[in-house]
Amino acid sequence: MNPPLTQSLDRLVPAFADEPRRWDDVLRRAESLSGEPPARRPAPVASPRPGRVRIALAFALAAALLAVAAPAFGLHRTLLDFFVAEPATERTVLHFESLDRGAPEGMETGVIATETRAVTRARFRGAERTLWVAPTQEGGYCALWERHGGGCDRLGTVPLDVTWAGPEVASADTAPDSWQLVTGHVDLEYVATVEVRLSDRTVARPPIVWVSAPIEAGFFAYEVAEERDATITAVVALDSEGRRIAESTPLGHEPGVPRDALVAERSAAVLVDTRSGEAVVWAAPTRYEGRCAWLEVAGRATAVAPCLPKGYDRVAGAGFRFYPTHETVLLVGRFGERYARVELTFADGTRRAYEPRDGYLLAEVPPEQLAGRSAVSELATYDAAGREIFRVPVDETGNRCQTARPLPAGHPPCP
Amino acid sequence: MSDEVMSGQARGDATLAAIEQVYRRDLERFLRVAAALLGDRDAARDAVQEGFAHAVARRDTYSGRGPLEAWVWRVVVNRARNYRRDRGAPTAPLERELVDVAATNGARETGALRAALAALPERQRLVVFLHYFADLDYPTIAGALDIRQGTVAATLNAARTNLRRALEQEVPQQ
Repeated sequence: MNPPLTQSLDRLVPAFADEPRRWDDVLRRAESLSGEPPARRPAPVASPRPGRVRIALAFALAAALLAVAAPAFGLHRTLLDFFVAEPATERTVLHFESLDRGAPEGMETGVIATETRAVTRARFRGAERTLWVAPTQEGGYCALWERHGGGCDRLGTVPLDVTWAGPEVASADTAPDSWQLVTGHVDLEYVATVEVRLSDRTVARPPIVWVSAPIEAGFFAYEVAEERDATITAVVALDSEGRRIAESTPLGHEPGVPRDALVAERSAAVLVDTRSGEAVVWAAPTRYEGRCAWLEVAGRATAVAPCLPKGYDRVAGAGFRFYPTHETVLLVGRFGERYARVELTFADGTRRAYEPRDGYLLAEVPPEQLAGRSAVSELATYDAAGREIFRVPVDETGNRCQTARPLPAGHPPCP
Repeated sequence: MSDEVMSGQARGDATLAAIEQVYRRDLERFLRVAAALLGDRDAARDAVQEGFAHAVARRDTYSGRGPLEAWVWRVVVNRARNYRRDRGAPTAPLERELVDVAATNGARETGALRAALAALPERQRLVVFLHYFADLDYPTIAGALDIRQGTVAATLNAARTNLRRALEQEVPQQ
Protein backbone atom coordinates (compact mmCIF):
# COMPACT_ATOMS: atom_id res chain seq x y z
CA MET A 1 0.00 0.00 0.00
CA ASN A 2 1.36 3.42 -0.80
CA PRO A 3 2.36 5.58 2.16
CA PRO A 4 -0.36 8.22 1.74
CA LEU A 5 -3.03 5.53 1.92
CA THR A 6 -1.43 4.06 5.02
CA GLN A 7 -1.37 7.50 6.55
CA SER A 8 -5.00 7.98 5.62
CA LEU A 9 -5.82 4.74 7.39
CA ASP A 10 -4.01 6.05 10.45
CA ARG A 11 -6.11 9.21 10.33
CA LEU A 12 -9.24 7.18 9.73
CA VAL A 13 -8.82 5.13 12.87
CA PRO A 14 -6.14 6.64 15.11
CA ALA A 15 -4.22 4.17 17.19
CA PHE A 16 -5.12 3.71 20.82
CA ALA A 17 -2.35 4.36 23.30
CA ASP A 18 -1.80 3.33 26.92
CA GLU A 19 -5.31 2.06 27.44
CA PRO A 20 -5.93 0.80 30.99
CA ARG A 21 -6.05 -2.98 31.23
CA ARG A 22 -9.38 -3.81 32.84
CA TRP A 23 -8.94 -7.54 33.12
CA ASP A 24 -11.07 -7.73 36.24
CA ASP A 25 -13.93 -6.30 34.21
CA VAL A 26 -13.39 -9.00 31.60
CA LEU A 27 -13.58 -11.66 34.29
CA ARG A 28 -16.74 -10.18 35.78
CA ARG A 29 -18.40 -10.17 32.38
CA ALA A 30 -17.24 -13.71 31.73
CA GLU A 31 -18.70 -14.83 35.02
CA SER A 32 -22.05 -13.35 34.15
CA LEU A 33 -21.93 -15.19 30.83
CA SER A 34 -21.02 -18.58 32.24
CA GLY A 35 -22.28 -18.28 35.80
CA GLU A 36 -18.95 -19.61 36.99
CA PRO A 37 -15.96 -17.65 38.27
CA PRO A 38 -13.22 -18.15 35.66
CA ALA A 39 -10.58 -18.73 38.31
CA ARG A 40 -12.24 -21.99 39.41
CA ARG A 41 -11.39 -23.58 36.12
CA PRO A 42 -8.11 -25.38 35.70
CA ALA A 43 -5.50 -22.99 34.41
CA PRO A 44 -2.31 -24.54 33.08
CA VAL A 45 0.80 -22.49 32.55
CA ALA A 46 0.43 -19.48 30.30
CA SER A 47 1.45 -19.80 26.68
CA PRO A 48 2.43 -16.54 25.05
CA ARG A 49 2.85 -16.57 21.31
CA PRO A 50 5.97 -15.26 19.67
CA GLY A 51 5.33 -11.75 18.44
CA ARG A 52 6.69 -10.22 15.29
CA VAL A 53 7.72 -7.05 17.04
CA ARG A 54 8.69 -8.29 20.46
CA ILE A 55 11.98 -10.00 21.03
CA ALA A 56 12.20 -11.88 24.26
CA LEU A 57 14.05 -14.69 25.83
CA ALA A 58 13.44 -18.37 25.61
CA PHE A 59 12.40 -19.52 29.02
CA ALA A 60 12.47 -23.20 29.70
CA LEU A 61 10.38 -24.00 32.68
CA ALA A 62 11.64 -26.80 34.81
CA ALA A 63 9.66 -29.88 33.91
CA ALA A 64 9.04 -30.80 37.49
CA LEU A 65 7.27 -27.57 38.25
CA LEU A 66 3.60 -27.86 38.94
CA ALA A 67 1.27 -25.15 37.76
CA VAL A 68 -1.37 -24.08 40.21
CA ALA A 69 -4.16 -21.58 39.85
CA ALA A 70 -3.77 -18.57 42.05
CA PRO A 71 -6.92 -16.56 42.53
CA ALA A 72 -5.30 -14.66 45.37
CA PHE A 73 -5.00 -10.90 44.96
CA GLY A 74 -7.66 -11.02 42.25
CA LEU A 75 -5.07 -11.31 39.51
CA HIS A 76 -5.97 -14.82 38.36
CA ARG A 77 -2.55 -15.74 37.14
CA THR A 78 -0.77 -19.04 37.05
CA LEU A 79 1.90 -19.79 39.59
CA LEU A 80 4.65 -22.32 39.70
CA ASP A 81 4.62 -24.30 42.92
CA PHE A 82 7.92 -23.49 44.56
CA PHE A 83 7.97 -26.57 46.76
CA VAL A 84 7.92 -29.04 43.92
CA ALA A 85 10.66 -27.24 42.02
CA GLU A 86 14.03 -28.86 41.52
CA PRO A 87 16.21 -28.50 44.65
CA ALA A 88 19.52 -26.73 44.22
CA THR A 89 22.86 -28.44 43.95
CA GLU A 90 25.09 -28.45 47.00
CA ARG A 91 27.38 -25.93 45.37
CA THR A 92 24.50 -23.53 44.82
CA VAL A 93 23.30 -23.97 48.40
CA LEU A 94 26.78 -23.11 49.62
CA HIS A 95 26.76 -20.02 47.46
CA PHE A 96 23.48 -18.83 48.96
CA GLU A 97 24.77 -19.60 52.45
CA SER A 98 27.70 -17.32 51.80
CA LEU A 99 25.44 -14.33 51.27
CA ASP A 100 25.17 -13.62 54.98
CA ARG A 101 28.74 -14.51 55.85
CA GLY A 102 30.43 -11.40 57.19
CA ALA A 103 27.36 -9.22 56.62
CA PRO A 104 27.17 -6.20 58.95
CA GLU A 105 24.67 -6.37 61.77
CA GLY A 106 21.22 -5.58 60.50
CA MET A 107 22.23 -6.12 56.89
CA GLU A 108 21.83 -9.90 56.76
CA THR A 109 19.47 -11.26 54.13
CA GLY A 110 18.22 -14.09 56.33
CA VAL A 111 18.31 -16.40 53.32
CA ILE A 112 17.29 -20.03 53.93
CA ALA A 113 19.89 -21.53 51.63
CA THR A 114 18.82 -25.15 52.10
CA GLU A 115 15.51 -24.31 50.41
CA THR A 116 17.12 -23.01 47.23
CA ARG A 117 15.36 -24.26 44.11
CA ALA A 118 15.55 -23.92 40.35
CA VAL A 119 12.62 -21.82 39.27
CA THR A 120 13.19 -21.53 35.55
CA ARG A 121 15.81 -21.51 32.85
CA ALA A 122 16.38 -18.92 30.18
CA ARG A 123 18.76 -18.45 27.36
CA PHE A 124 20.65 -15.19 27.19
CA ARG A 125 24.18 -14.16 26.35
CA GLY A 126 24.53 -17.30 24.34
CA ALA A 127 23.93 -19.78 27.14
CA GLU A 128 21.10 -21.38 29.00
CA ARG A 129 21.04 -20.21 32.59
CA THR A 130 19.17 -21.41 35.63
CA LEU A 131 17.40 -19.04 37.96
CA TRP A 132 17.94 -20.14 41.54
CA VAL A 133 15.62 -18.77 44.21
CA ALA A 134 15.66 -19.19 47.99
CA PRO A 135 13.24 -17.82 50.61
CA THR A 136 14.33 -15.61 53.47
CA GLN A 137 13.32 -15.80 57.12
CA GLU A 138 11.29 -12.61 56.88
CA GLY A 139 9.10 -13.55 53.95
CA GLY A 140 11.31 -12.43 51.14
CA TYR A 141 13.66 -14.19 48.78
CA CYS A 142 17.03 -14.13 47.12
CA ALA A 143 17.38 -14.84 43.42
CA LEU A 144 20.44 -15.64 41.36
CA TRP A 145 20.77 -16.18 37.64
CA GLU A 146 23.48 -18.74 37.00
CA ARG A 147 26.72 -17.05 35.91
CA HIS A 148 25.03 -13.67 35.75
CA GLY A 149 23.79 -12.09 38.97
CA GLY A 150 20.83 -11.38 41.15
CA GLY A 151 19.76 -9.89 44.43
CA CYS A 152 17.65 -10.22 47.54
CA ASP A 153 14.34 -8.79 48.62
CA ARG A 154 14.65 -9.58 52.30
CA LEU A 155 11.06 -8.67 53.19
CA GLY A 156 9.39 -9.70 49.95
CA THR A 157 7.85 -6.28 49.29
CA VAL A 158 10.08 -4.74 46.63
CA PRO A 159 7.75 -4.03 43.69
CA LEU A 160 10.44 -4.09 41.00
CA ASP A 161 14.11 -4.87 41.09
CA VAL A 162 16.20 -4.82 37.94
CA THR A 163 19.76 -5.84 37.19
CA TRP A 164 21.11 -3.90 34.21
CA ALA A 165 23.83 -5.21 31.96
CA GLY A 166 25.63 -3.75 29.00
CA PRO A 167 26.99 -5.66 26.03
CA GLU A 168 28.82 -8.85 26.87
CA VAL A 169 31.98 -7.60 25.23
CA ALA A 170 32.33 -3.87 25.69
CA SER A 171 34.93 -1.83 23.87
CA ALA A 172 36.24 1.69 24.08
CA ASP A 173 33.66 2.62 21.48
CA THR A 174 30.78 1.16 23.46
CA ALA A 175 28.35 3.87 24.48
CA PRO A 176 27.95 4.16 28.24
CA ASP A 177 24.20 3.77 27.97
CA SER A 178 24.18 0.70 25.74
CA TRP A 179 22.12 -1.45 28.07
CA GLN A 180 21.33 -4.70 26.33
CA LEU A 181 20.06 -7.03 29.01
CA VAL A 182 17.81 -6.73 32.03
CA THR A 183 16.91 -9.40 34.55
CA GLY A 184 14.71 -8.81 37.51
CA HIS A 185 11.82 -9.67 39.73
CA VAL A 186 8.48 -8.12 40.61
CA ASP A 187 6.16 -8.50 43.57
CA LEU A 188 3.16 -10.74 43.01
CA GLU A 189 0.85 -8.57 45.07
CA TYR A 190 1.37 -5.28 43.29
CA VAL A 191 2.53 -6.07 39.78
CA ALA A 192 0.82 -7.79 36.87
CA THR A 193 3.04 -7.01 33.88
CA VAL A 194 6.43 -5.63 33.03
CA GLU A 195 7.26 -3.34 30.13
CA VAL A 196 10.77 -2.99 28.77
CA ARG A 197 11.15 0.32 26.98
CA LEU A 198 13.69 0.66 24.22
CA SER A 199 15.53 3.56 22.64
CA ASP A 200 13.68 3.06 19.36
CA ARG A 201 10.44 3.83 21.21
CA THR A 202 9.19 0.28 21.06
CA VAL A 203 7.98 -1.56 24.13
CA ALA A 204 8.56 -5.22 24.89
CA ARG A 205 6.62 -7.21 27.43
CA PRO A 206 8.79 -10.10 28.56
CA PRO A 207 7.10 -13.20 29.92
CA ILE A 208 7.09 -13.46 33.68
CA VAL A 209 7.54 -16.69 35.60
CA TRP A 210 5.33 -16.34 38.67
CA VAL A 211 6.33 -18.38 41.69
CA SER A 212 4.07 -19.42 44.55
CA ALA A 213 4.50 -18.91 48.29
CA PRO A 214 6.79 -18.47 50.06
CA ILE A 215 8.34 -16.56 47.18
CA GLU A 216 5.27 -14.84 45.74
CA ALA A 217 7.13 -13.01 43.03
CA GLY A 218 7.59 -13.00 39.29
CA PHE A 219 10.89 -13.26 37.44
CA PHE A 220 11.80 -12.02 33.99
CA ALA A 221 14.72 -11.54 31.66
CA TYR A 222 14.97 -9.62 28.43
CA GLU A 223 17.84 -9.23 26.02
CA VAL A 224 17.89 -7.01 22.95
CA ALA A 225 18.62 -8.98 19.83
CA GLU A 226 22.13 -8.43 18.52
CA GLU A 227 20.90 -7.38 15.10
CA ARG A 228 18.66 -4.75 16.58
CA ASP A 229 19.88 -1.17 16.83
CA ALA A 230 18.26 -0.35 20.16
CA THR A 231 19.10 -0.19 23.82
CA ILE A 232 16.99 -0.57 26.93
CA THR A 233 16.05 2.73 28.54
CA ALA A 234 13.59 1.75 31.28
CA VAL A 235 11.73 -1.13 32.86
CA VAL A 236 8.24 -0.36 34.11
CA ALA A 237 6.06 -2.50 36.37
CA LEU A 238 2.30 -2.17 35.89
CA ASP A 239 -0.61 -3.39 37.98
CA SER A 240 -3.62 -5.32 36.73
CA GLU A 241 -5.29 -2.04 35.77
CA GLY A 242 -2.32 -0.97 33.70
CA ARG A 243 -1.26 1.66 36.19
CA ARG A 244 2.41 2.34 36.62
CA ILE A 245 3.64 0.90 39.91
CA ALA A 246 7.39 1.33 39.76
CA GLU A 247 10.09 2.10 37.25
CA SER A 248 13.75 1.27 36.97
CA THR A 249 16.25 3.21 34.91
CA PRO A 250 19.98 2.56 34.53
CA LEU A 251 20.85 5.65 36.56
CA GLY A 252 18.75 4.63 39.53
CA HIS A 253 16.59 7.50 40.68
CA GLU A 254 16.34 10.57 38.54
CA PRO A 255 16.38 14.19 39.66
CA GLY A 256 13.12 15.71 40.73
CA VAL A 257 10.08 14.25 42.40
CA PRO A 258 10.34 10.43 42.53
CA ARG A 259 8.14 8.89 39.89
CA ASP A 260 6.75 6.28 42.25
CA ALA A 261 5.35 8.92 44.60
CA LEU A 262 1.60 9.55 44.72
CA VAL A 263 2.17 13.28 44.84
CA ALA A 264 -1.45 14.18 45.53
CA GLU A 265 -1.17 12.35 48.85
CA ARG A 266 2.06 13.99 49.98
CA SER A 267 2.60 15.51 53.39
CA ALA A 268 5.37 17.68 54.77
CA ALA A 269 7.72 15.54 56.86
CA VAL A 270 10.12 18.35 57.77
CA LEU A 271 9.93 22.05 57.05
CA VAL A 272 12.79 24.48 57.64
CA ASP A 273 13.16 28.19 56.90
CA THR A 274 16.53 28.69 55.28
CA ARG A 275 18.47 31.47 53.62
CA SER A 276 17.19 30.09 50.31
CA GLY A 277 13.61 30.28 51.51
CA GLU A 278 11.38 27.56 52.87
CA ALA A 279 12.79 24.04 52.44
CA VAL A 280 10.49 21.05 52.75
CA VAL A 281 11.00 17.31 52.81
CA TRP A 282 7.83 15.89 51.33
CA ALA A 283 6.83 12.28 51.97
CA ALA A 284 4.28 10.47 49.84
CA PRO A 285 2.97 6.93 49.64
CA THR A 286 3.37 4.67 46.63
CA ARG A 287 1.07 2.17 44.97
CA TYR A 288 3.12 -0.61 46.59
CA GLU A 289 2.54 0.58 50.16
CA GLY A 290 5.98 2.12 50.22
CA ARG A 291 7.14 5.66 50.81
CA CYS A 292 9.06 8.22 48.79
CA ALA A 293 10.56 11.49 49.92
CA TRP A 294 11.99 14.49 48.16
CA LEU A 295 13.35 17.91 49.01
CA GLU A 296 11.88 21.09 47.62
CA VAL A 297 13.80 24.30 48.00
CA ALA A 298 14.27 27.41 45.89
CA GLY A 299 11.76 26.12 43.36
CA ARG A 300 13.53 22.83 42.72
CA ALA A 301 12.84 19.25 43.77
CA THR A 302 15.38 16.53 44.38
CA ALA A 303 14.98 13.01 45.68
CA VAL A 304 16.16 12.45 49.23
CA ALA A 305 16.83 8.75 48.71
CA PRO A 306 15.34 5.88 46.71
CA CYS A 307 11.72 5.13 47.60
CA LEU A 308 11.31 2.51 50.30
CA PRO A 309 9.09 -0.55 49.81
CA LYS A 310 6.69 -1.64 52.51
CA GLY A 311 8.41 -2.58 55.76
CA TYR A 312 11.84 -1.38 54.73
CA ASP A 313 11.57 1.68 56.99
CA ARG A 314 12.35 -0.70 59.82
CA VAL A 315 15.49 -2.15 58.32
CA ALA A 316 16.67 0.78 56.22
CA GLY A 317 20.12 2.18 56.67
CA ALA A 318 21.04 5.80 56.24
CA GLY A 319 21.16 7.87 53.09
CA PHE A 320 22.03 11.54 53.10
CA ARG A 321 23.53 14.31 51.04
CA PHE A 322 24.53 17.92 51.32
CA TYR A 323 22.48 20.09 49.01
CA PRO A 324 24.15 23.44 48.31
CA THR A 325 22.32 26.45 46.96
CA HIS A 326 23.82 29.83 46.16
CA GLU A 327 22.97 31.10 49.63
CA THR A 328 23.37 28.14 51.96
CA VAL A 329 23.90 24.38 52.42
CA LEU A 330 21.27 21.90 53.52
CA LEU A 331 21.83 18.48 55.04
CA VAL A 332 19.02 16.19 53.94
CA GLY A 333 18.63 12.47 54.37
CA ARG A 334 16.63 9.46 55.39
CA PHE A 335 17.68 7.50 58.41
CA GLY A 336 16.37 4.10 59.55
CA GLU A 337 14.73 3.58 62.91
CA ARG A 338 17.96 2.80 64.69
CA TYR A 339 19.40 6.23 63.96
CA ALA A 340 18.52 8.60 66.80
CA ARG A 341 21.06 11.36 66.27
CA VAL A 342 23.23 12.78 63.51
CA GLU A 343 26.18 14.92 64.40
CA LEU A 344 28.23 17.24 62.20
CA THR A 345 31.75 18.23 63.09
CA PHE A 346 33.03 21.41 61.50
CA ALA A 347 36.54 22.31 60.50
CA ASP A 348 36.92 24.61 63.48
CA GLY A 349 36.17 21.68 65.79
CA THR A 350 32.69 22.69 66.82
CA ARG A 351 29.89 20.16 66.65
CA ARG A 352 26.17 20.32 66.12
CA ALA A 353 23.64 17.51 66.59
CA TYR A 354 20.35 16.91 64.75
CA GLU A 355 17.55 14.39 65.27
CA PRO A 356 15.77 12.74 62.37
CA ARG A 357 12.02 13.20 62.40
CA ASP A 358 9.87 10.34 61.14
CA GLY A 359 12.99 8.96 59.52
CA TYR A 360 13.93 12.18 57.73
CA LEU A 361 16.44 14.88 58.49
CA LEU A 362 16.56 18.36 57.04
CA ALA A 363 18.87 20.96 58.50
CA GLU A 364 20.65 24.09 57.37
CA VAL A 365 24.36 24.21 58.02
CA PRO A 366 24.90 27.20 60.33
CA PRO A 367 25.81 30.27 58.27
CA GLU A 368 28.81 31.03 60.44
CA GLN A 369 30.31 27.67 59.46
CA LEU A 370 30.05 28.52 55.79
CA ALA A 371 32.19 31.63 55.99
CA GLY A 372 35.86 31.63 55.18
CA ARG A 373 37.63 28.27 55.18
CA SER A 374 35.44 26.71 57.80
CA ALA A 375 33.35 23.80 56.59
CA VAL A 376 31.92 20.44 57.57
CA SER A 377 34.61 17.85 58.12
CA GLU A 378 32.76 14.82 59.49
CA LEU A 379 29.32 13.26 59.95
CA ALA A 380 28.59 10.71 62.68
CA THR A 381 25.42 8.84 63.62
CA TYR A 382 24.31 7.40 66.96
CA ASP A 383 21.57 5.12 68.22
CA ALA A 384 19.17 5.91 71.05
CA ALA A 385 21.66 4.62 73.63
CA GLY A 386 24.32 6.98 72.33
CA ARG A 387 26.34 4.27 70.63
CA GLU A 388 28.05 5.36 67.46
CA ILE A 389 26.71 3.61 64.37
CA PHE A 390 29.04 5.09 61.78
CA ARG A 391 31.30 8.07 61.19
CA VAL A 392 32.37 9.35 57.77
CA PRO A 393 34.56 12.22 56.61
CA VAL A 394 32.85 14.82 54.45
CA ASP A 395 34.61 15.26 51.16
CA GLU A 396 34.99 18.88 50.11
CA THR A 397 36.27 18.06 46.67
CA GLY A 398 34.67 16.55 43.62
CA ASN A 399 31.13 17.23 42.44
CA ARG A 400 30.25 20.71 43.57
CA CYS A 401 26.63 19.71 44.07
CA GLN A 402 27.64 17.15 46.68
CA THR A 403 29.84 19.36 48.81
CA ALA A 404 28.97 21.35 51.93
CA ARG A 405 29.77 24.74 50.43
CA PRO A 406 27.37 27.22 48.85
CA LEU A 407 27.44 27.37 45.08
CA PRO A 408 29.55 30.14 43.57
CA ALA A 409 27.83 32.84 41.55
CA GLY A 410 27.09 31.64 38.06
CA HIS A 411 26.99 27.96 39.00
CA PRO A 412 23.71 26.40 37.86
CA PRO A 413 21.35 25.14 40.59
CA CYS A 414 21.97 21.55 41.61
CA PRO A 415 19.59 18.89 40.32
CA MET B 1 18.36 -14.52 19.82
CA SER B 2 15.10 -16.33 19.50
CA ASP B 3 11.70 -14.73 19.05
CA GLU B 4 10.19 -17.57 21.04
CA VAL B 5 9.15 -16.42 24.45
CA MET B 6 8.51 -19.45 26.54
CA SER B 7 8.57 -23.16 26.23
CA GLY B 8 7.43 -25.94 28.48
CA GLN B 9 3.85 -24.94 27.85
CA ALA B 10 1.21 -26.28 25.55
CA ARG B 11 0.74 -23.63 22.89
CA GLY B 12 -2.76 -24.80 22.10
CA ASP B 13 -4.19 -24.34 25.55
CA ALA B 14 -6.79 -21.63 25.69
CA THR B 15 -6.03 -21.01 29.31
CA LEU B 16 -7.20 -18.09 31.29
CA ALA B 17 -3.64 -16.92 31.75
CA ALA B 18 -2.89 -17.18 28.05
CA ILE B 19 -5.98 -15.20 27.09
CA GLU B 20 -5.09 -12.63 29.71
CA GLN B 21 -1.63 -12.39 28.21
CA VAL B 22 -3.06 -11.71 24.77
CA TYR B 23 -5.33 -9.09 26.29
CA ARG B 24 -2.59 -7.32 28.16
CA ARG B 25 -0.18 -7.43 25.27
CA ASP B 26 -2.45 -6.48 22.39
CA LEU B 27 -5.37 -4.53 23.80
CA GLU B 28 -4.67 -1.44 21.70
CA ARG B 29 -4.67 -3.51 18.51
CA PHE B 30 -8.01 -5.10 19.34
CA LEU B 31 -9.44 -1.70 20.16
CA ARG B 32 -8.31 -0.27 16.86
CA VAL B 33 -9.92 -3.01 14.82
CA ALA B 34 -13.10 -2.75 16.88
CA ALA B 35 -13.12 1.02 16.40
CA ALA B 36 -12.79 0.50 12.66
CA LEU B 37 -15.70 -1.91 12.71
CA LEU B 38 -17.95 0.16 14.96
CA GLY B 39 -16.89 3.70 14.10
CA ASP B 40 -17.00 4.59 17.78
CA ARG B 41 -14.07 4.39 20.14
CA ASP B 42 -16.12 4.04 23.32
CA ALA B 43 -18.23 1.32 21.76
CA ALA B 44 -14.99 -0.32 20.69
CA ARG B 45 -13.75 -0.37 24.27
CA ASP B 46 -16.96 -1.97 25.47
CA ALA B 47 -17.02 -4.45 22.60
CA VAL B 48 -13.46 -5.58 23.20
CA GLN B 49 -14.13 -6.10 26.90
CA GLU B 50 -17.15 -8.14 25.96
CA GLY B 51 -15.24 -10.02 23.32
CA PHE B 52 -12.58 -11.08 25.76
CA ALA B 53 -15.26 -12.02 28.28
CA HIS B 54 -16.73 -14.35 25.66
CA ALA B 55 -13.29 -15.78 24.96
CA VAL B 56 -12.82 -16.47 28.65
CA ALA B 57 -16.26 -17.95 29.11
CA ARG B 58 -15.96 -20.12 26.00
CA ARG B 59 -12.31 -21.04 26.18
CA ASP B 60 -13.23 -24.71 26.55
CA THR B 61 -14.42 -24.61 22.96
CA TYR B 62 -10.99 -23.73 21.63
CA SER B 63 -9.92 -26.81 19.74
CA GLY B 64 -6.21 -26.17 19.87
CA ARG B 65 -6.07 -26.07 16.10
CA GLY B 66 -4.15 -22.99 15.12
CA PRO B 67 -2.73 -20.30 17.34
CA LEU B 68 -4.72 -19.25 20.36
CA GLU B 69 -4.29 -15.63 19.39
CA ALA B 70 -6.10 -16.20 16.12
CA TRP B 71 -8.97 -17.84 17.97
CA VAL B 72 -9.19 -14.91 20.37
CA TRP B 73 -9.22 -12.52 17.42
CA ARG B 74 -12.06 -14.47 15.86
CA VAL B 75 -14.13 -14.30 19.04
CA VAL B 76 -13.48 -10.61 19.63
CA VAL B 77 -14.07 -9.59 16.02
CA ASN B 78 -17.33 -11.50 15.99
CA ARG B 79 -18.44 -9.81 19.18
CA ALA B 80 -17.61 -6.43 17.65
CA ARG B 81 -19.54 -7.29 14.50
CA ASN B 82 -22.57 -8.28 16.56
CA TYR B 83 -22.16 -5.52 19.10
CA ARG B 84 -25.01 -3.25 18.01
CA ARG B 85 -27.34 -6.10 17.19
CA ASP B 86 -26.90 -7.55 20.68
CA ARG B 87 -27.85 -4.24 22.21
CA GLY B 88 -31.15 -4.04 20.42
CA ALA B 89 -29.99 -1.21 18.23
CA PRO B 90 -31.18 -1.24 14.65
CA THR B 91 -28.83 -3.38 12.65
CA ALA B 92 -26.77 -1.07 10.51
CA PRO B 93 -24.68 -2.46 7.72
CA LEU B 94 -21.01 -1.81 8.13
CA GLU B 95 -21.12 0.30 4.99
CA ARG B 96 -23.61 2.60 6.65
CA GLU B 97 -21.52 2.85 9.80
CA LEU B 98 -18.43 3.85 7.95
CA VAL B 99 -20.16 6.39 5.74
CA ASP B 100 -21.97 7.94 8.70
CA VAL B 101 -18.75 8.39 10.56
CA ALA B 102 -17.12 9.85 7.48
CA ALA B 103 -19.89 12.40 7.19
CA THR B 104 -19.41 13.57 10.74
CA ASN B 105 -15.70 13.70 10.31
CA GLY B 106 -15.91 16.06 7.40
CA ALA B 107 -12.45 15.40 6.07
CA ARG B 108 -12.73 14.83 2.35
CA GLU B 109 -9.76 12.59 1.93
CA THR B 110 -10.58 10.50 4.95
CA GLY B 111 -14.20 10.44 3.97
CA ALA B 112 -13.27 9.10 0.57
CA LEU B 113 -11.26 6.34 2.16
CA ARG B 114 -14.09 5.47 4.49
CA ALA B 115 -16.46 5.28 1.59
CA ALA B 116 -14.01 3.12 -0.31
CA LEU B 117 -13.65 0.78 2.65
CA ALA B 118 -17.39 0.68 3.12
CA ALA B 119 -17.78 -0.38 -0.46
CA LEU B 120 -15.51 -3.38 -0.01
CA PRO B 121 -16.98 -6.84 0.51
CA GLU B 122 -16.96 -7.58 4.23
CA ARG B 123 -14.22 -10.18 4.08
CA GLN B 124 -11.92 -7.79 2.22
CA ARG B 125 -12.63 -5.08 4.73
CA LEU B 126 -11.90 -7.38 7.68
CA VAL B 127 -8.64 -8.51 6.13
CA VAL B 128 -7.62 -4.89 5.62
CA PHE B 129 -8.49 -4.03 9.20
CA LEU B 130 -6.67 -6.99 10.67
CA HIS B 131 -3.64 -6.47 8.48
CA TYR B 132 -3.24 -2.71 8.77
CA PHE B 133 -4.81 -1.83 12.07
CA ALA B 134 -3.79 -4.92 14.05
CA ASP B 135 -0.58 -5.68 12.17
CA LEU B 136 -1.46 -9.36 12.11
CA ASP B 137 0.42 -11.76 9.91
CA TYR B 138 -1.27 -13.94 7.33
CA PRO B 139 -1.53 -17.12 9.45
CA THR B 140 -3.22 -15.22 12.28
CA ILE B 141 -5.62 -13.47 9.94
CA ALA B 142 -6.40 -16.83 8.38
CA GLY B 143 -7.12 -18.28 11.81
CA ALA B 144 -9.19 -15.29 12.87
CA LEU B 145 -11.40 -15.40 9.78
CA ASP B 146 -11.27 -19.17 9.36
CA ILE B 147 -9.92 -18.99 5.83
CA ARG B 148 -6.78 -20.31 4.18
CA GLN B 149 -3.56 -18.31 4.18
CA GLY B 150 -3.59 -18.18 0.41
CA THR B 151 -7.05 -16.71 0.58
CA VAL B 152 -5.78 -14.00 2.91
CA ALA B 153 -3.16 -12.93 0.40
CA ALA B 154 -5.62 -12.98 -2.48
CA THR B 155 -8.27 -11.13 -0.49
CA LEU B 156 -5.83 -8.48 0.63
CA ASN B 157 -4.61 -7.99 -2.90
CA ALA B 158 -8.16 -7.63 -4.16
CA ALA B 159 -8.94 -5.17 -1.39
CA ARG B 160 -5.94 -3.03 -2.29
CA THR B 161 -6.94 -3.01 -5.92
CA ASN B 162 -10.51 -2.05 -5.10
CA LEU B 163 -9.40 0.67 -2.72
CA ARG B 164 -6.99 2.11 -5.25
CA ARG B 165 -9.62 2.18 -7.95
CA ALA B 166 -12.20 3.74 -5.65
CA LEU B 167 -9.83 6.41 -4.44
CA GLU B 168 -8.63 7.25 -7.93
CA GLN B 169 -12.26 7.86 -8.91
CA GLU B 170 -12.98 9.83 -5.77
CA VAL B 171 -9.81 11.92 -5.65
CA PRO B 172 -8.73 12.78 -9.19
CA GLN B 173 -5.05 13.24 -9.78
CA GLN B 174 -4.01 16.90 -9.81
